Amino acid sequence: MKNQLFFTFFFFAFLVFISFSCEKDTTGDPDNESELITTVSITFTPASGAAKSFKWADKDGAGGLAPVIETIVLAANTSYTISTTFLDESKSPVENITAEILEESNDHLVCYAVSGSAPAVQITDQDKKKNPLGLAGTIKTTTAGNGSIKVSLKHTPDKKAATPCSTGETDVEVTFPVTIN
Amino acid sequence: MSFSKIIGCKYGCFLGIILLFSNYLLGQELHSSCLLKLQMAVVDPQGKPLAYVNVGVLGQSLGGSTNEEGILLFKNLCKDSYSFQFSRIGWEAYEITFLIENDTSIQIVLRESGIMLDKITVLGDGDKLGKNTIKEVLDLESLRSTMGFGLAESLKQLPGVQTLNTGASISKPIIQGLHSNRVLILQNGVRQEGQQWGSEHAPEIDPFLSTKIQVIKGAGSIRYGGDALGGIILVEPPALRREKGLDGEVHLQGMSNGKLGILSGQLNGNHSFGNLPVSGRIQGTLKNGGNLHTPDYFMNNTGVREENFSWMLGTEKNNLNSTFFYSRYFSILGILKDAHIGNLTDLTDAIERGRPLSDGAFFREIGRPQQQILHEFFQWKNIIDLENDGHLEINLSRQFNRRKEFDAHRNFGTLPNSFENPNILFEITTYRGEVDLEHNWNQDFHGHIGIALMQQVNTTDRGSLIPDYSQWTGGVYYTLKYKKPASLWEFEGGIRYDRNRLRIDDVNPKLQDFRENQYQGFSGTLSSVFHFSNVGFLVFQTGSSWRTPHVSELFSDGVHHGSASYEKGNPYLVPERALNNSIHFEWQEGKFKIQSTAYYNWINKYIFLSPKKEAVLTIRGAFPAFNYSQTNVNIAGLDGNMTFSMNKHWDFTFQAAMVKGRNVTANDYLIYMPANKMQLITTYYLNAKDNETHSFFRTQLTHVARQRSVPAAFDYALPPEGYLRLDIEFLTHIKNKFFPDIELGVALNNATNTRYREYLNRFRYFIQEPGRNLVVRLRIPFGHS
Repeated sequence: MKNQLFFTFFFFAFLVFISFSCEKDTTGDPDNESELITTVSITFTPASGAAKSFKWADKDGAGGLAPVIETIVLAANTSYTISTTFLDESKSPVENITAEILEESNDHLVCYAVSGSAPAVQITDQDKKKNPLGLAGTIKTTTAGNGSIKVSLKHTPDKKAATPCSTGETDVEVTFPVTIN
Repeated sequence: MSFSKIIGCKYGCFLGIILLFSNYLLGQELHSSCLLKLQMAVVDPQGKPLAYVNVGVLGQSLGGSTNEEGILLFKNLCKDSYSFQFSRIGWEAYEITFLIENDTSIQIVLRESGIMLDKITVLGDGDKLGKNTIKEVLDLESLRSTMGFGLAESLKQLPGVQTLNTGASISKPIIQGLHSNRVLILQNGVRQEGQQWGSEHAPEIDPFLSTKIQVIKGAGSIRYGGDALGGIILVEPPALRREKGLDGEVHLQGMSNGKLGILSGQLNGNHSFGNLPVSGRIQGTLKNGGNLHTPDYFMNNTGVREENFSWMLGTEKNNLNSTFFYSRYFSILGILKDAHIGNLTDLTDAIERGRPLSDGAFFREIGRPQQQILHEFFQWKNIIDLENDGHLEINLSRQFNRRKEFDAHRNFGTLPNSFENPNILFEITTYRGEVDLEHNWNQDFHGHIGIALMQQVNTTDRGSLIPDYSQWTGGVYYTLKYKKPASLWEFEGGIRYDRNRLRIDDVNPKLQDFRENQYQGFSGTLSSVFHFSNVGFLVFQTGSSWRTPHVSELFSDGVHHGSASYEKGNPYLVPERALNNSIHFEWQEGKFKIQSTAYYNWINKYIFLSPKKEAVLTIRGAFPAFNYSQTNVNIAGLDGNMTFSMNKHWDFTFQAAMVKGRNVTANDYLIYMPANKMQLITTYYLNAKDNETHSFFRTQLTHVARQRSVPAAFDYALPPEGYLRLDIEFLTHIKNKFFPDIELGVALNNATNTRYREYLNRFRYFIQEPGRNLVVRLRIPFGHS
């Protein structure tokens, strides 16, 4: 008798399980528009004269069309203040990501690595903890020649480390060719 | 299907008894020529005689059936070793080999077959394949000791199987150098359809639901598909309970590395509702683990969770046997944070370090990056017995697989804390219908004819690795086996035709030209078995198979964060075509047992990722770029093992595998081929070796060589050094009042805490393999009749 009861239960348990067994394909929720950086723009302002901007842009993201890279052209023996902005040009209107970097300045660091005749960059701005940030800086060109500047945006770097620019995650890493006349 | 009958046993037995007496009276001299007698008494586990048991002798035209007293007498046997095969409908087939030196009387005990249908005497799909397919069965004891590590790691114990790993928690089987889409995995006879194309997508099957896993090498079985270029893995659940009552088992496992715990259980029942016998099972597994540990540091974020559940329900009435099977697999896998690389610069830094930045710590929480996989499988199988003609099998199934991947990256912005929005979401739904008719032309010819249809829809709701697609496939096959009872040869051939329609459902304008794709082709196998003696046989097998390019190979376009590379598909790829040739050898005599497989396979239009000279420039920096291309390759190899049973207590096994792949078109080595591997296993049995409840102490020494046969400029780093690894295992059975037999296993894997890396582990650039691991496991069966 006990067996009978148990097995009846067993059998109905199966029926219950059967009715809860179907997973289905969900219709796709639209992807949350995750932010994207497509463009790096550096503006060089000399002590006297007009400011010039140069862009590195890959508007359609990885793959597809190749990125469009402008060559930075500077005058020799000149001091410039530089200002770097990050944009998302895949959207309309264009989104300015720089504002968010400023808001989360403690978590970001802009690094500049130069080669050839390109002069070193001095970072002049700071984050909320008084550590370097990198959106603003100065350079002083010397002799004419060619070179390059590699601009990197690091996320959560260790700003106290010996080489902060090799820590953290790389959000942006672009290289501009530089010509000094 | 029966062997030649001797004269009704009553007469023969009487004669037999007289002859036995006369031999005894006349002394030993008569035994020098072929005049030995063997009396067999076949009984059931309760000692009751079993009549009408067919007895055959391997490789000879001897045989007969037991009489009503369960007795069969053999006369005029030579002083030799004989292999006897016992079969009776409804009872488990049994084979025994022994040496006849004197007149012998022997009692054989048979057990009832698990499958309810009377006419079938085999246990599952795999057994119907017979010797003609080159297969290796993972014995139950080895399966139980490694189930906790997942399907691929269990199979690794077989000589021809290696694994492709992504970290320590993701493992895929490699057979004859091939994996992913080239290896079919079948759950209860149905092809597993998930995202198996990805090298970091592990098979979504819980090994705890199975008691038998077999590997079929090469294009051995046309019945399951024409595209198994590497082989087929059959995962079979145990048959449903036949006798009334309840039984079950519980598994408890704990592992020190990762502080992993596993609880798995199974309950089987059988009851008659009026005239209808109903049998059922429920089974489930829970797994929970935290960060793994290498000899020098923790691997942060390598925890794992698994929640699996399955049930089976079956009944039989007259000639129909019907079963339902449902399984649900859900797992959350943590991916090593340090392996998700930003760009090439970060990758180069990581490779130079060769280890994570920090030593890490132990924690159970699984953060980003992580994978969440759900696989649901439902099947309805019907077997209709057609009396002497064989049987008809109708198999309908539905599978649903949902894969979510959460990156540690975002294009920009802070990562959300919750796991509501995955970065990648794939959902694939597959319906399948198969009909197979097993038909016996006469006692020597045995054939199968069948048709298999599949419809599949894949949607990519997040991420853009592969587009949405729908796929329809249809295949028809015919296989024929020829075996004359008295002959030393068996032959089998099979032919199959498949059509495949692939439709891209994505609205991306770049894909519109490739919206409709059609493929078709034939595949076939031919094999023969030669029983060169009572104690050994050879299998010769050749086959041609083909595989359609997968959507990922045709249309990938993007950065693959898991491998810090940019992968681009090629919509002009054509199907691969392989020609597989193998020779398999088995021999068992006295204290030695040997098995070995040698193979030489050609694959034309083999699809693989070929590096481009120029990196792809993205806002994140440069990524090495790879294009899917085709080339002609050949892969050859040799694997096998040899066991020496020195005496009642000691066993020594030597196992080795070697694979050589060549990219013929490029005249260079083929990338990612397994390195040479050798194992020496020593087992000391504390008590009767042949007893199912034996205890043993075992050491396993594994040597994997450095892979030197690699093409230049294909990889980020050279293959790692070779290594030596020691594993120790102790197994015992405890009898007690409450449970008849508790199995206790204690294993120490990587006992010497060796530091090593595996060539086929995609994370080898970043971390070592796990260090020492103490595994304690209990298996507690219970039940009553």
